Amino acid sequence: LRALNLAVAEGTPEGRESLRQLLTGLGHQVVTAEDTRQLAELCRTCAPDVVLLGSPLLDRDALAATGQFAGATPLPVILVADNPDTELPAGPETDFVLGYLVRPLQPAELRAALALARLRFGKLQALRQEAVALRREVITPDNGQALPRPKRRMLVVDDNRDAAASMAMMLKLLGDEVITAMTASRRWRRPGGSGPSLS
Amino acid sequence: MDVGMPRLNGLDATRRIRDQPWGKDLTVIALTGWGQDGDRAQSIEAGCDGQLVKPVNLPDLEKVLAELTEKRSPTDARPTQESTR
Repeated sequence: LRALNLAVAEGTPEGRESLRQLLTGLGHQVVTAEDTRQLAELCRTCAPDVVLLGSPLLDRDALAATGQFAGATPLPVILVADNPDTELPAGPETDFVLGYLVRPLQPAELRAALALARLRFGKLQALRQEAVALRREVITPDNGQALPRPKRRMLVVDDNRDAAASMAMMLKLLGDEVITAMTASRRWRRPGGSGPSLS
Repeated sequence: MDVGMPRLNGLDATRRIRDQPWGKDLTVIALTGWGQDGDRAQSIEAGCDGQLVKPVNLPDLEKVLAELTEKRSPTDARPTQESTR
């Protein structure tokens, strides 16, 4: 395994230091964060190969900091738990949590977890690219004629009239059905599923 | 959903939507004007599925919508009790 750039997010100085020592001992470069805000900054500026996330910091915000959020490129995450009962949050935010280690950590298992996370991350990325390519093939068959996609129903809520109009225009260009509202209403209803939806 | 609206702002509106039975499966994208990490975290906490920073351009909008559609497609493809009757 080549030397990796790793980000460690741990809430305690002892936890950060012990992980840093273990990882640098394996020949990797390590940057550390003590909270979610620092982790987000590190992920943006250092683009680590793998993020090791201490279980006390595990929540949706921390996972969002590692890119597990629409519009961002996710990074592979290894969870480092203080006890084996730690549970992952439910939902797609954990798709790229590719390892689960329980303290106390041994160098050998850390090395294996990093190698496995890198391997799985590469395969996941390849699968995602394959899915995109397949979707394009389905959407654009041999004759180059795009198949009609079912219209999505969109509601744009923005008090800025120009911004709302611009967004509505783009959505219409994408073939969507759009309504706009200048304010959020406390009386919104979605009777019979006829309200806005993505699909 | 614009985040910075007066009176009922976009995050509170999203929380109210999520509290409704019909709002659980709705996809909500936050529109922010500044794109700070704190805003992203707040958007997630409020129940938004994604975030776009204004001014939004068409490629970014298309990308986020495609990602969210991809994430939702496995459950969307599942037949509901009603549709299988």
